[in-house]
Amino acid sequence: MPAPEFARQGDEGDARIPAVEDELDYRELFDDAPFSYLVLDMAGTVVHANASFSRLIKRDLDSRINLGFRTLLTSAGAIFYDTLLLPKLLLSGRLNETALDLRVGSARVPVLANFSLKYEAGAPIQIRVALFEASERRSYERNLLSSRREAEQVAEVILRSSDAIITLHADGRVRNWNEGATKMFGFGPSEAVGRLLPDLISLDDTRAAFRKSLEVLNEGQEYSGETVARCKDESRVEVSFKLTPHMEAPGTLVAYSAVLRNIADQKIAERALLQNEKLASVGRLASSIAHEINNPLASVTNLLYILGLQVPTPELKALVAQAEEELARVSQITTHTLRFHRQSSSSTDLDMQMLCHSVVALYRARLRNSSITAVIDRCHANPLHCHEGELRQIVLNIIANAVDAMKHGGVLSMRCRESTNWANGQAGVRLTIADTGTGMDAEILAHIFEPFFSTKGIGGTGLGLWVTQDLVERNRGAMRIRSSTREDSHGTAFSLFFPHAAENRSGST
Amino acid sequence: MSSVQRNNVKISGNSSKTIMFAHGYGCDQTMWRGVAPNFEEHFKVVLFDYVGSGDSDSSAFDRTRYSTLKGYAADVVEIIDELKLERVNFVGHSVSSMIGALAAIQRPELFESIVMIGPSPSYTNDGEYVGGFERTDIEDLLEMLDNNRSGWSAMMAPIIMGNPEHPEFAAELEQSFCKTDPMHAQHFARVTFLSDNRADLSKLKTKTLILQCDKDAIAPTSVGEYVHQCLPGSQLVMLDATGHCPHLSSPGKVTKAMREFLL
Repeated sequence: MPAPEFARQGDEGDARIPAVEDELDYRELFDDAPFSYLVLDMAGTVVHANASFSRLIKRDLDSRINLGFRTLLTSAGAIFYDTLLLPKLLLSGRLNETALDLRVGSARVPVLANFSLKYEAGAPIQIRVALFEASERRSYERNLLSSRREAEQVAEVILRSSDAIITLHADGRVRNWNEGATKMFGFGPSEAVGRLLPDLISLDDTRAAFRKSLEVLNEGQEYSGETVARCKDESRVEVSFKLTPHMEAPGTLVAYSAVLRNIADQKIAERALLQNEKLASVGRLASSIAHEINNPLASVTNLLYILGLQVPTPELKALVAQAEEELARVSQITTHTLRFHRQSSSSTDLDMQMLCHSVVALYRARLRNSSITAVIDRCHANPLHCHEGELRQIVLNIIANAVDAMKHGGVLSMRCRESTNWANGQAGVRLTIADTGTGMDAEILAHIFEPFFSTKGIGGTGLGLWVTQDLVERNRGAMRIRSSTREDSHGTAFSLFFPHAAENRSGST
Repeated sequence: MSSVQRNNVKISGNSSKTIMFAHGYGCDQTMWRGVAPNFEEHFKVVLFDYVGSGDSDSSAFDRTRYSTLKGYAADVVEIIDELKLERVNFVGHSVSSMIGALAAIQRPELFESIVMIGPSPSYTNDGEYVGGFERTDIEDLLEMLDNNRSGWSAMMAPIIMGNPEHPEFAAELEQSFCKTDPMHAQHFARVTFLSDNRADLSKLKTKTLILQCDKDAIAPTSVGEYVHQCLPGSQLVMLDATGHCPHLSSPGKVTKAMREFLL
């Protein structure tokens, strides 16, 4: 092995330490260095190598070395050597910390390599290489890279979310501010980071409440709710929010995150819903009044007719005729009112499962805020030919009650299937809507279909189930309710049946 | 955006004839510094970086446009159009040989000749064709690029000038070589090594010189001969040099062979 010669021909080392040269065994120094050292010619053939290198690649290099450096690399390594490594080395003269894999038998040994060029008369003639084993470092780097990629992905999801996702220091100063937050509130990240979140987006009168939520967080509890927040341009935005604490031992709040969602659209939908319910209530109210008026009206009309026959003078006859005319107008108004109540859009084929999904979607935010899980079983029923708007109103009213009954969470389950009305043998669809809410006792159950009966205080109109009952009847349906307030199994189940071919609509006359 | 800015085009020399140098995969226009100046006397010399390499504008990177070599060839044509160059003598290293061929197929009237240094129409083996590599090798390469990712940002190196015995003394003249954005390096590696442009070769009608080195691990001699066969009338010259980058390791020999062909 020509190693010792090489060591002595070193072009700078010898000159600097001539005094100790004789005392050092250069061969040993060179061979047993804690790294592999080799010299390549410009074609990439190994011309010198120390014993450490021979040990690293588990080959006996005592015989004349005639080993191509590329053959020690993988195919990919060879491409890398020729396209990336060598051009840079030739241009810059040296190259440090290049990660390579050496093929040793069937195994691969990761190494870090430093390269430098030796020149003669301005032209490169040799490549010097120092190799350091880097197995641990490589696996560490690989883990680092893959976790960095994962983190980048998660960060990307958070950054692009349409919800405002904000992380905060324990004192409420903003740490991270995503694009959703920028869109929602108008402040860019540079304006928001470092500011106290309550100062940034809370209204004066809600700021105290916001601060109070920090007390809850300090105990390690989540805090959620709805509020109105302030934007940069002083406009207001309705949001639902959830604050999640990040605790560290010993139970100290170190940071927390806030997820805010714009609920303006949801609020509009809820208001429209309420408006619909009101209209339906008014409609039914008017129609029942009209219905009640109709009977006495008919009597009065008949009585007037008889009276008209008995009147002797033409002057009086004219008065009776006028009264008859006015009465006819009243009759016309009541008929119109009834017709208005009965008219609705034309029938369509309705997939009950789709209906359940769309109603649940409408209530999604409220379900989430109250920690209610909605379960919609697979529906095996044929589409129902019906008035979709009316069916939707029925389901909406029942679900609204269910949500109100589950203030502290629960399960809302819906199931529909093909069924037969055992009373008359009609084929139809049965829809069951059940909640695990507080349930109703017998006294409440007795009154739930009465107008203006409500258990919700000022929050309820007391007209929901009254309207629901009317709508069920108009679709020739049937409704049964079971409810329990027992501690171990409380909740309410509505069982609705709608016949197929319910075209002959029953009115309320 | 102007393609001259996008591709960091540098022009030197002043002659009616034009020579355009295109770097290969893994490097940038600095790789021509031993060859390009030798042509300034007789040519207007045009150097450029592909998008994602060197000092190109990496914001111009468009994954779809550059998903095949045609996108890179379109950039070459845009540079030529924008500079109103005519009868261009195109010199392409490695993958740029094919990029130049694609550009000349698309717009033959713009090109006077093409010099291909270590060309390969397909780096991967396919049936009887031996490109030299398997697809799995290319996947391995992408992994190697990952392993060397951190290194790229710190790929600063001293230029060797005036004191070749002690290159470290040139440290004050630090400049980066073969800068490649890590993301683009992976992309360009895929496009380069997974492209198969064998079918395009027969469409090339421009006068072509193929410079082939001995022991080129990337583009073996058999591939150079394959290109020569596919291009009737082309000239194949075996350089007395080894490796894939003769213009870096033996710039004098490359210059000489090119002069004989061009002048």
